[in-house]
Amino acid sequence: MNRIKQYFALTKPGVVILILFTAFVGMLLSMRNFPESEWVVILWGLLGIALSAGGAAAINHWADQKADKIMLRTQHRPLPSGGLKTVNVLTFAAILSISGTFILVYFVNVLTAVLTFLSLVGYAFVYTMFLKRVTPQNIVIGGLAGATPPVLGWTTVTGQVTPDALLLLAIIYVWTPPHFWALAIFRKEDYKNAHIPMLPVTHGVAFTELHIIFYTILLFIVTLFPFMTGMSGLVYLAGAIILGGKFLWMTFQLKKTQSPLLAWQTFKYSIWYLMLLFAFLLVDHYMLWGDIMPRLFQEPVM
Amino acid sequence: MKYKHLTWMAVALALCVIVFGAFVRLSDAGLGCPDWPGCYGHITWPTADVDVIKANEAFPERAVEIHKAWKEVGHRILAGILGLMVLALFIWAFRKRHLMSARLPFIIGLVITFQAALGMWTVTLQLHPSIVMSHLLGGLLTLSLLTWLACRETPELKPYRYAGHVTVKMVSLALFLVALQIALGGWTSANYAALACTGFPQCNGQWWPNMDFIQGFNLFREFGPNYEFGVKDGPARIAIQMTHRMGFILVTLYLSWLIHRLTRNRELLPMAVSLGLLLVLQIILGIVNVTFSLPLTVAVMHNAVAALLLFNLVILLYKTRQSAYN
Repeated sequence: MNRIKQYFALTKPGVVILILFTAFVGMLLSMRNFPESEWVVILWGLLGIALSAGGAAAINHWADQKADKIMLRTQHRPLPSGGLKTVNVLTFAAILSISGTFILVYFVNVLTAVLTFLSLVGYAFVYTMFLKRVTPQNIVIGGLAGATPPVLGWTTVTGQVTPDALLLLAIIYVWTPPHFWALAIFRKEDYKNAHIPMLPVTHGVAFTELHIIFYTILLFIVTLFPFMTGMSGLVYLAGAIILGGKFLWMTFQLKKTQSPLLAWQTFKYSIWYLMLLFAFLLVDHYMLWGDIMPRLFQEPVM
Repeated sequence: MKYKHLTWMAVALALCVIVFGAFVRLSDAGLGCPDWPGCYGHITWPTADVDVIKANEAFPERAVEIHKAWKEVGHRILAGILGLMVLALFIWAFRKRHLMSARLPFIIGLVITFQAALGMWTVTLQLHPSIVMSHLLGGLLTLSLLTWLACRETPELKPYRYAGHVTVKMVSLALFLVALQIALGGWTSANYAALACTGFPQCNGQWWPNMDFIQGFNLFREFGPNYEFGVKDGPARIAIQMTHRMGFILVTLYLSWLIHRLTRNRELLPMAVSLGLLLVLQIILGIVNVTFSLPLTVAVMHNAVAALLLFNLVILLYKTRQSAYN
């Protein structure tokens, strides 16, 4: 039983659930009506994305084991604690990733499979093994791989990428730096000891907090776009302004007080922020009310 | 098998019976059998051509419709199995009465017996709205009591070590509000008022349409006429629908606040996540119901998620009530 638990922990279930949630919202937003016959493809899509995401997380565990051993936050993970062997982890990761990709190819569509596979490579190899150790801009660039789930959900159902889907990607892409840097400030010593060049380690906490504010302002603006392109209505706009306003206020407080505890709270809030923002997108999508902007950019790009 | 296993199986079956009952009602099969406990005088339903002709002669006002009859009979069979399970739970507890209390299983047995009577009246009084709503509430009461019993008989389900951010009173109020909202939802369905308002959040393009609350909430109409597809006027149905919507605002605000408090404590966080997801899902399903003309799957899911919300709140109440710091 203990072994099963450790294998389960390899897949980072918390992160996978957040990924599945945003992918699911992407699926629902891509359809005008509430799904009926589409449930089958939705379930296959979620399964394929979940397996691929779990596989990527397992590869990340393998690639990061040396740093994980040094950092307090990650010392209890299966590999550094000696619970599982490298061979087992890699086999497990391969099984998950390959089965996930095959499910997407056979039961969903090739586009989704290709994009999911690219995200997996982007996260597990480009980000974890290369970017993370090379530049303080690691999560800004690597965030692209983590921002794809809503697009994957979108292509699962429609088979094409539209500007609306890319808008969802942009929201998560811009959200990632303030989300991650808040955590990096709180765990600065850990990253320093593990020789990972996170922005607070290389350029200092004050500089990072300034950048968190900049990216949150950018995020506030990006989250207005679903309203401006006519994809969402007034209810979403109100939600985005309230949630974004609170986020912005927290980042200003963070800069003012320099409190590590507030950094941790900002990190936790950012997770709720993303979930609630997507919940607002969904609720607004089915309301058929308050859509006052003209519908723009509907031609698929891919 | 231990006692707790049987109680959790009963909980799962009760949930199925409730959701299947909603399916029967929403697919207009509630009068699929005009008699009770048989169906056109059969134990199951008439299938052979001769039997169908005979049944049509015996019940001229309601010709046999097989696709409706099997749903109604299926609901009765499922409910019957649940009744037998609760009987088994009672006998089991009674035989071990030196170790455990048999009072709660006995009460659940009484509730289920009354539910059977309400099920009969639903048919014989031709879907009288008050009976239909009571039948729904009785089903949810059964589910809640069974959940409480299951929690009590499962020692692994530990109460919260510290539940300081939420008190028994707060959770009780949440349970009360959700139950009230479910009753209003049942009243909406029983009076076929779900489609009285198209559009959301506005009702037929107005924020405050013309409504007749007196007629809408008259619980004591005479027995007799066939109430299928509703007998109330437009403004009365709009009043019912709008009350359910006002309840939605109240319940959403209160539950959001409660969920926010639950997130302050790591131990309570899983319950916050589960309640939060169910709440968002329920809001979306409710909105889809009115903006997409009541799709059958969505309407059934709206009922199922309501039952799950109640189920979660009962567990939350149990874990908070037994907590050492409350």
